[in-house]
Amino acid sequence: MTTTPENIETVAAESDDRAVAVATRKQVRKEQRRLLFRSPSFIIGTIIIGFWVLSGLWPELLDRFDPKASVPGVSPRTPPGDGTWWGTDRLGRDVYSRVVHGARPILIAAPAATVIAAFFGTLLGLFTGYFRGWVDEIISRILEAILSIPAILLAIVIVFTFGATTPVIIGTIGFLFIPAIARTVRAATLAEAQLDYVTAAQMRGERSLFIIGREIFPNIVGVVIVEVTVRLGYAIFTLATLAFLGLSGGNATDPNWGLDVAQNYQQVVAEVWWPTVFPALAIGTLVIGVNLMADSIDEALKS
Amino acid sequence: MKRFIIRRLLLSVVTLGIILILITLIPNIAPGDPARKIAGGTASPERLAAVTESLGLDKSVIEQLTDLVTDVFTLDLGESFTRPGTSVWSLVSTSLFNSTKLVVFALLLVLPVAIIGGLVAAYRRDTWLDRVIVNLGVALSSLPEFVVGALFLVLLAVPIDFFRVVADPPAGASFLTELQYLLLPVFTVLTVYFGYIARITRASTITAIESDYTRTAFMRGLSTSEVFRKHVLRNSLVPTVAVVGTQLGYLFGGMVGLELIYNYPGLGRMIFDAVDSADYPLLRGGVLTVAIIYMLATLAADLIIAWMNPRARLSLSEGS
Amino acid sequence: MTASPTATDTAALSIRDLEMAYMVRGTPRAVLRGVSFDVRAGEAYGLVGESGCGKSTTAYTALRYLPSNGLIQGGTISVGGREVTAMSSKELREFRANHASMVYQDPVQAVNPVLKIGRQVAESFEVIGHSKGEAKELAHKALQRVHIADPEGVLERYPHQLSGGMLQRVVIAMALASDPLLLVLDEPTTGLDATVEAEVLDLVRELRDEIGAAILLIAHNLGVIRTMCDRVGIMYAGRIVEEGTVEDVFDNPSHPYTVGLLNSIPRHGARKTDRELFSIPGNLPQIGDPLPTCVYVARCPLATDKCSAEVPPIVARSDGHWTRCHHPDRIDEVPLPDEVSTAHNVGTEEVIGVHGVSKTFHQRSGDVPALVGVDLGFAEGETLGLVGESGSGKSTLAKTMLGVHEPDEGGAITLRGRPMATKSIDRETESIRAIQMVFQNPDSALNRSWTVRRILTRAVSKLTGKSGDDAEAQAVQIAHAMQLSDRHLDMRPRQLSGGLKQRVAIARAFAGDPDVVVADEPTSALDVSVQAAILNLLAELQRDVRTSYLFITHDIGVVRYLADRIAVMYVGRVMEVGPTDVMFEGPIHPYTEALLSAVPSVDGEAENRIPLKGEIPSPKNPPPGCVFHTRCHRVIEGTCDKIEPPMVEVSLGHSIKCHIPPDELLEMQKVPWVDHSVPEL
Repeated sequence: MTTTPENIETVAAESDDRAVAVATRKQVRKEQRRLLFRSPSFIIGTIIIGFWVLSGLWPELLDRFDPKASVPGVSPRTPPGDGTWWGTDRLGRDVYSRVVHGARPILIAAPAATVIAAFFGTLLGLFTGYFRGWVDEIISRILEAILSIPAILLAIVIVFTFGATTPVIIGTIGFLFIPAIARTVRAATLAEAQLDYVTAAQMRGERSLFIIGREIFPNIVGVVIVEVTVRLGYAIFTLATLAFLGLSGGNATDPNWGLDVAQNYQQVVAEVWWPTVFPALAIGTLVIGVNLMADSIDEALKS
Repeated sequence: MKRFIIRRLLLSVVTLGIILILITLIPNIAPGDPARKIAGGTASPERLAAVTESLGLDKSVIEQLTDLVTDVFTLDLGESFTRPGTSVWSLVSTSLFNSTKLVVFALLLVLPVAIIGGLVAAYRRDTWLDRVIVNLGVALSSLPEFVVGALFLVLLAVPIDFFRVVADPPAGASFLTELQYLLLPVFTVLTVYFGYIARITRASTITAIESDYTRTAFMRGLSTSEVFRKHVLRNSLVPTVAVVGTQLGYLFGGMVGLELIYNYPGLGRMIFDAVDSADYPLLRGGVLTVAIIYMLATLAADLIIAWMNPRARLSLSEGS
Repeated sequence: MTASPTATDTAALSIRDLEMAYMVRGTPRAVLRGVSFDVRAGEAYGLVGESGCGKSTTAYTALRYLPSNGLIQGGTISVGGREVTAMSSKELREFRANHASMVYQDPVQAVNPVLKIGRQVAESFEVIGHSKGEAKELAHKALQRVHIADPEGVLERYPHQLSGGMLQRVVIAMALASDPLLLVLDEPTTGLDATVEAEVLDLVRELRDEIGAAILLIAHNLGVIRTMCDRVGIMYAGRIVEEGTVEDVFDNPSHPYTVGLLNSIPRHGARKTDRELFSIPGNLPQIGDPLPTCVYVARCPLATDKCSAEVPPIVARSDGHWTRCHHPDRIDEVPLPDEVSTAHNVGTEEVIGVHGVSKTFHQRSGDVPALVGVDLGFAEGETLGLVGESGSGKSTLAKTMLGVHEPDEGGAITLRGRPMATKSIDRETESIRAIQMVFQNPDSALNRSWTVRRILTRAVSKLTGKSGDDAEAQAVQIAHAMQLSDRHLDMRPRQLSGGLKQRVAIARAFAGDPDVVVADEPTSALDVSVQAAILNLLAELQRDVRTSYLFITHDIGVVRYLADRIAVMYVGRVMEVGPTDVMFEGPIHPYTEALLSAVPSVDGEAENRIPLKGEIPSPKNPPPGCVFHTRCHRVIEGTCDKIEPPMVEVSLGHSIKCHIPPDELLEMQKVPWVDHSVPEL
């Protein structure tokens, strides 16, 4: 093969130019990470989530009293400050310690449900988006039907029918979140399948599984990550609401944020606000933390 | 347009059919005896039998399904199980009316505020105002309504007399009084939905602002407000309409937490009570109502979109 | 910076020392670095240069339409004696409404998709003070002015219901609403088919005298500039390096950059057997880079020490023709592209054959026959150029050959005489290896999450059966053959320039040493200079390994340069096929005749445009008889609209699907075509 002098020069100059202008892939990733770690949303989100993860892992490290027993020497409904940080509830239990211990159930169930939904939703979305056809039509109809009823309603019905145990609750939320993830992944897959690199793979006789798994999937991983983080926020939302409705998966005396709000909010009119406000804030901050993190990941991947 | 509506309606009927199947299947595939779980371990045999019957579990799955389809087509959802003699329809319609009041009032507040928020953020893109709107919206969205509702109770209802701790006004209250009672629930909806709607409006408005036809309009010598009014809005509000359409079902049936905290007799709470008391006929009626609302809302949204955007008309009538 | 020597007081548009920059993270990055030129009323001025040279930026800056981070740092823009840079926003609105207009690159994007055409055209009249009623009437007249046959109907339609060419007429009608002093056309025909492009250009030419506006035309197609403009400015790195009448600049280029640009396109009927194309070494400086004294010094074959020490002066070449160069007298020393020494020979055996292949798409709304009875064959080392308007079925044919679309029953695609499986997934490795494809857009064709090494290694192992280190070693070897260096191997597509990406795509197609490579508009997204390098590479590969090409393109100049034979498609049918040299002598199919006549020539050859009536018919409802009869200028009433013509062999290997006997056709085509039809109003 012969090469002409101009061509060599062209290529060399072209590449030098690009090398200066465009960073390598590693640098791009590094830059993305740098952007992420410097984003205020990400930092705040990490601190909030970090605190709750710590509470979930080692509540004994942070608590001050037994969350299930009344604090000795302190009467029920004592406001924050007098011997307890966040006051005591109607049974004299320490609100702070209950909130710390309440992190664990939600931090186990929400990620577990999200993982189930992410796994099946991604698979379903990839396959329906790539193959399309009548199977896709049918599955899309079923997903649409599930989406047409608010997830929380279906969750109430299913959990009631199957029994309010932690595995049932996790399985139910996992199942109910499949359609939303599948829909997002399907749309992304559809867009990818239009691109010529997929046609090129078909032209070299690649098997469909290879095209879906190795060619398309790496290009939609970002979409999946963002969608899954957003779903994690909604899983917390749904779990907390179920617990608020009494479907906590544990005993009525176990520390649980949603349940504690439910058991105490009626005393707010009697100005006993602390047993309601602190668990409510716990749920709120956890959701906000996850949302901030999802948003900053989204921003970093877009840049 | 006719073809589009027919096609769209057919799709809705199919979806409704799938929901009917789902509702029938759930108690049938539950492990163990769902009737016993619902009735409670200590229930009397009579009570258990009654629950089993209300669930339809004494019949075959096919019979259950055909019964349900007949009920739906004859618009006769039967009688409530816990309140014999009261038709499901009368209970559903009362709750539906209450939910409608709440939703309409909430939308009247949420839509203008959130849409204007999104437009302002898009127009003032990358300024502090934009960042505040976007970050606030991100942080507050997907907060459970009962959490926001509980915090409003503590922060507003208790210290300020004007705000009410319950949303259900006393019988015979005037319209304005009703609004006053509904104020905190509506604020709660605003908090939860503001970011969601504002962000969607912002994104589509930015797309519209950056598009070539907006450039054409500016180059033609139109002022910024004319460009927004005549060219940007109609394009940028399409996704907002779609989102509001899909969220209406949730607003009607999903606000269980909010309705409990403000003691408001809406659809969500009715369904929750039905589940709690094992009133299966009432539960079916409630869930079906919510599904039908979702269907009508998305249909309406699609029609509005088709009216706003001629290309959507084309693609929807030919099938996606 | 000195004023342009052509400055006159009568200029309608006068730009002086214009400097513009984008603010990136607080630092200004220069885009325009002292642009000066004038356009007189009634004159058309063209701006030419590679992408990124600042030509569009100049046009938008002239109307002060800047991105939010754009900043005019110096200089003046005066239109009709009014200073644009000093206008308040209210004055600017009034100025845009009444005195300046613009026509954009993509008419489909330039109009609002949700508003009826009538509303949008009327709006252009309302902003200049007409009442709603008057505006409606004027909109009607405006559409008549741009020769839209059915103004009432079009006013009531939405943009998506009109073709690109029709929409561009609408945009032109809107631009002329105010009888502007300045009309800017920014790549007005890019993306349109050559036939539609010709119609739009005809319209602009016709309206030019009537409106008397100063026209500023931006185009990367040198032929368009040559046929449309009086004067031209060659832009490079935010500066004009040469200016003069189109004849002076294109026939006696005096700047090394101009010479390079002109040599990179095939001119005067050049063929691949004669010479390579010239590919300007290097790249444009990046936006904001510090500029050397002469902006072109890094890529200039004539550069001396003086060029990097002193700013070159403006040197007048003849009246109104100047260049900014230290060595205008050495311009003849710019080397010509290399001559091709190796003989190019085409084999005789058919490698891949397409025999009676049809493809019907079954849609909800009915069947769409996209290909109808296509017969084509390729010999070893042969290039078959495939031309035709968009929608003619060119890409469908390519994808059917490669097994992405399954052809209808009856036809066959053969490899050395043996039929291949119709679907790629069923094909044996040998058949897959034998035929591969290069796509138009490398961004879409290369998996963006894969490295170049992985892309090529996978292709090698799939096409040759090699695995592991063997496959990788061969991938590296192929990359080197495409003049990709080792550094590129571990990069991902988005880190490469357009030209390099297309090299990777070509390397992938050549991974299994294919017999036939289908290239679907492989250079249409590239600048002419990069296009030249890619075309050289393809020609060289063919000389070395005797691959056959199916080269799909809309660029007649390129196809003439590269193709040994040309096939012309229309509405899914092959209308004509024949050797390239024969085709340019005639007789040719009336459709081919019209296609060729539509190409604006950069050489300033006399034009004899044959207008194609109406729009290309949809393959869903092809016209009866000859599919081309609805638009044919030589139609025989009573025959062409009833009977489908047979494929007639005119001379050896040259066949035409036409009712007119070849001798008659040849006689007809000797005389320039005169359009006797009444123009539609």
